[in-house]
Amino acid sequence: MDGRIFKVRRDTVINPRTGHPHDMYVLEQSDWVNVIPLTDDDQVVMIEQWRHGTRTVELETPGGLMDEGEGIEAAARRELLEETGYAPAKVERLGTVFPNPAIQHNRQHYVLATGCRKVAEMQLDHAEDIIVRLVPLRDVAGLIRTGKIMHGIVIGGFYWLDMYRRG
Amino acid sequence: MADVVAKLNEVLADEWACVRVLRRAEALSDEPGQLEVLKRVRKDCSLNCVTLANAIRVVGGRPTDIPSTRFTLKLTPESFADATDMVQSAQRHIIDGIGTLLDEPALKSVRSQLGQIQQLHKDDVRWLGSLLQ
Repeated sequence: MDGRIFKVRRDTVINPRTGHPHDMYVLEQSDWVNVIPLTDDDQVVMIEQWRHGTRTVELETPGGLMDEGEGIEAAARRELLEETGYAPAKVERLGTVFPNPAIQHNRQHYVLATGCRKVAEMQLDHAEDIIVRLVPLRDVAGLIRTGKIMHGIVIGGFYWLDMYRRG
Repeated sequence: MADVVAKLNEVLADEWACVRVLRRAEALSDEPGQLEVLKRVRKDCSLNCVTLANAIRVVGGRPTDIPSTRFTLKLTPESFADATDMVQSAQRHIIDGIGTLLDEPALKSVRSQLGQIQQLHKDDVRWLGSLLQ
């Protein structure tokens, strides 16, 4: 399968213990970037959007696929502007993880964007339907605990932010 | 106040979406008992639309009559379970959305109506869920 977002690759591997072949599947796609955008009064610029996999509306931080040859910070600024209309004064890398090494080979980069301000209207593609929400950073832990933030990649980003702030 | 009106209108748009998708679910069902439940839930959602529209007017806003895109997306082909599942997703989102608005000082005058809508959805989620078991 070859789609806009990912390709499915099938590898046939032989188990050295049994000598039997079996198929392994890998979702091939470009790296992802996820931004934690903070305003000067420590509010997180979050987005609420429909997620077809779970058929639910999820509260998330902005992010998306990196374009070919695009740098991490540039992708973070672009995604933030497109999805929220906000621009940061400064961006810093927080960390990188494998989003799901069982079936994906790509990486997920986290970026902290500070001094964010609204500078433009959102530029959404045809499949996006997004509402921007300003959420006080101090409320995020409670939102995770009560299941209002359920997206694992987003929760990972807040963990990286917590480590960053603790030094 | 504009921010609060915008949030109420988001809830209202999701409520209109429930009505629309319930109609789709009704068209996919030929079982009289199921149909009766769907119609009752749709009646509740229609009533919620009126209640929300009135609440928006009370706080000085203009109510929307456009269903939200996110909860009217349609699978092709769509099964009865798909449509009912979509309604449940919208209802749970409305319950959460109203939950964040109940403590808004600007909505004090319509708090009891919002609470009633939230409770109606909680009951209907359980009721609709029983159809899918």
